Amino acid sequence: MNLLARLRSWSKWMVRRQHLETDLEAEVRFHIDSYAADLVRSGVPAAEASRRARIEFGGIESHKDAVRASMGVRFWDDLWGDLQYAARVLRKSPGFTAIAVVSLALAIGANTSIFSLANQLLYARLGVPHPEQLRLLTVLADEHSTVHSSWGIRYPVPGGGYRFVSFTYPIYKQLRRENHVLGEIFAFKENIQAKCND
Amino acid sequence: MGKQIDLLQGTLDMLILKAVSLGPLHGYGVLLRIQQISGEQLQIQQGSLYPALYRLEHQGWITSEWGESDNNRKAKFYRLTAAGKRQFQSEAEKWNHMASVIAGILRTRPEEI
Repeated sequence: MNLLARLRSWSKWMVRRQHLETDLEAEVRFHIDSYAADLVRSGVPAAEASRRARIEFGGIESHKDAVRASMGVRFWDDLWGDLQYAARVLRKSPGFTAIAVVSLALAIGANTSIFSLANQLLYARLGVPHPEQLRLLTVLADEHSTVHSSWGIRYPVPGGGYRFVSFTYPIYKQLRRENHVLGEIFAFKENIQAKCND
Repeated sequence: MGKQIDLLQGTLDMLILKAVSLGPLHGYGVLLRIQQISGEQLQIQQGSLYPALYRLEHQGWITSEWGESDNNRKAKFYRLTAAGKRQFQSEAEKWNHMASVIAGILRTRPEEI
C-alpha cells in the first residue's frame, strides 16, 4: 500500500508532536464550536447548545487517543510510558535494583570472559606455524572434465561448470607428485575424530 | 432519529472519501455533507470522524491544509488526493458489486430455484 505516505505522516507525528497535538485540539474545538453555533441558529439557547455539542461529540480525549492510535504513534507513547514506569519502580527500591544490576553484570562479565578464552583456544588458533600461508585447493571443472570430486559433492559456478574441494585419493597423489609451486601438499578428511594419547 | 446501528467496516472511510471528492471540506463539513447527501438519514457519531480522517490522511488518500472557514475562523480542510481517488473508485466498485450480489440473493423467490 501507500508505505511512503504512511512513513512520512508517521515521522511528521514523531518529530512535530507538540505542534500537531495543538492542531488536533484546534480542529476539535472548531468542530464543537461550529456545531454549537448551528444549534444556536436553530433556536437552542447558547449555554445549552455548547453543552449539547460537547456531549454529542463524545469523549474528546478518547477520540484523540483513537487518532493517535490510527497514526501508529500510540505504540511509542505506550512504550515511553512503560519505560518511565520501569525507571520509577526501579528508583523506588534501590536495593533490588542494585542486586539485579550487579548479578546481571557478573553473569554477562563471566560469560564474556569464558567466551573470549574459548574463542582463542578453540577457534582462533590453528596450531600451525604461519597459518596465513595455508591454502585450500579448489578444482574448477566442466562436464567434460576427467577429474571428479569424491562423494559427488560439487557446487555450480556462475557462468557454467562447477567447483569442488574434495578430491579422490589418486588425484591427491598426482597433485603431490607434480607439485612444483607449493611448499607442501597435505590432505585431510572431515568427520574423522582421533585421539592420540602421549 | 432512528436507532444506532454499526456501520460496516470501511464504510465510514468510503463515505468520507466521497464527501471530500465533491470539494474540500473541514471535519465538521464532512459530517454535514454526509448527512445532507444521505437526505438526513445518516448521522455519523461526531467524534469518531476524526480518527477516520487522520487514518485516511496517514494512508495518503486525503491531504489537509489550514484555511479560513465560512465564519472566518481557522479550520483544517481536507481534500482528496490522486491515490485517494483511485482508492475510492475501487472501494465503491467492490461495494456496489457486493450490494448487488446480496440484493440478488434477497430477491430470490422459491420458484426461481
